[in-house]
Amino acid sequence: MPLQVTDITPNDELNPVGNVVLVVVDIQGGGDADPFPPSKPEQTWMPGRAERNAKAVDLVAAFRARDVPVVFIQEVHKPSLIDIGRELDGNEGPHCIEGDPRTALHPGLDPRPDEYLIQKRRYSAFFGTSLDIILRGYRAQTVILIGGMTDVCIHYTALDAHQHDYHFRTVSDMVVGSGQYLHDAALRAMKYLQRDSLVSSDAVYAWLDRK
Amino acid sequence: MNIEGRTALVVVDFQGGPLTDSAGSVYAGEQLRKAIAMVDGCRARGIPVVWIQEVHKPHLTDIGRELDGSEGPHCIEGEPATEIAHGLAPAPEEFHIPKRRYSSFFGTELDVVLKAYRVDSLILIGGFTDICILYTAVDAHQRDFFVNVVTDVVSGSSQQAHDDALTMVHYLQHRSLVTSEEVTAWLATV
Repeated sequence: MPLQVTDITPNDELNPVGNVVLVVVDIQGGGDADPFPPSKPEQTWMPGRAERNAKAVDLVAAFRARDVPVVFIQEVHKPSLIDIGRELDGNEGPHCIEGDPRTALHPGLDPRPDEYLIQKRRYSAFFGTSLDIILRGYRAQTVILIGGMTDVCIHYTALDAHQHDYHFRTVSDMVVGSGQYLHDAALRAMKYLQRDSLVSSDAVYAWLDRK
Repeated sequence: MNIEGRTALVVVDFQGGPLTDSAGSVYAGEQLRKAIAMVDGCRARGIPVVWIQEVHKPHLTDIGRELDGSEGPHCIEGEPATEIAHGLAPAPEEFHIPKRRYSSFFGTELDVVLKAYRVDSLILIGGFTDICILYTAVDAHQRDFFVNVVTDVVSGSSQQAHDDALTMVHYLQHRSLVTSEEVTAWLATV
């Protein structure tokens, strides 16, 4: 039988393979202090978004300073919800509505003209998007994932990166889950896929500092 | 049941041939009997059955990153344990889809086949709960299918991973976790 994952302690070494791209997944809210009030009783969001957002602004700046590419992902849905698929059938209510200020990326994470902003209408950042084409353009072999939610868009983007043969690294102190249990469960699942995938932000900075 | 419109039964990686090795043996006994009964019941009611089988060449060119985590080499073409579990077998008119990644939709004709059957709802059995079942369910969800995972006819890579995965499937669609008894009762109404 496969090895069961029980320890989700992040590595303090990034150990990337080949070229690296930072993928910033769904860090949205437009700077609103409480952008996503629960719309269903099961939405007991994990705390830590504000701290994560501030760390993301710093990390993006550090990648830009070292000329390592950054790709931004933004979940969007039309107000008519024609594109919401089955996303209202589970824990989530309507979310990321186009035109709502809270759907905007967090302030300080605005893509530069030379950077890619990819809008998506499903959970995986690869699903029905140009992300694979863009990563191939950068000749990327390793993607670093930050953002949210750990157990939804991060987990399922990591899965598709894995299935597309990329190495992925999830910065576990820079992802926030829909709750603590599912956050931890998703980290276990990602480590099952790639045993080196969980890293700390210190590991990312240490690697950047050596570049 | 989480059924809208037409339905297909998708049998995911119910492999192990004679079910004598450690990975295959989780299916032996109760799960295999339930799977056989469900396949027979679906056929009797005209519910299409689609078969998914994970395969890799012995040289592992197609293994991708699947050796970077908890799994070793698996589902090698030509090995007895890679065969669909004995007692289950696709009928000639049924689709039998090999895959080389975890999701049954990834790089396969599954979406084409499901469109041909005009189905909106899927019933999933097989394994592992936390890998090929979960990730097939996620892709089905992202393709707008209504998902039913039969909780007593799926096996996880560990008990914790099985439980985690069922919680994740429930997150996606609240009516998605069903039992084989519910499937049997539903089939009687089709």
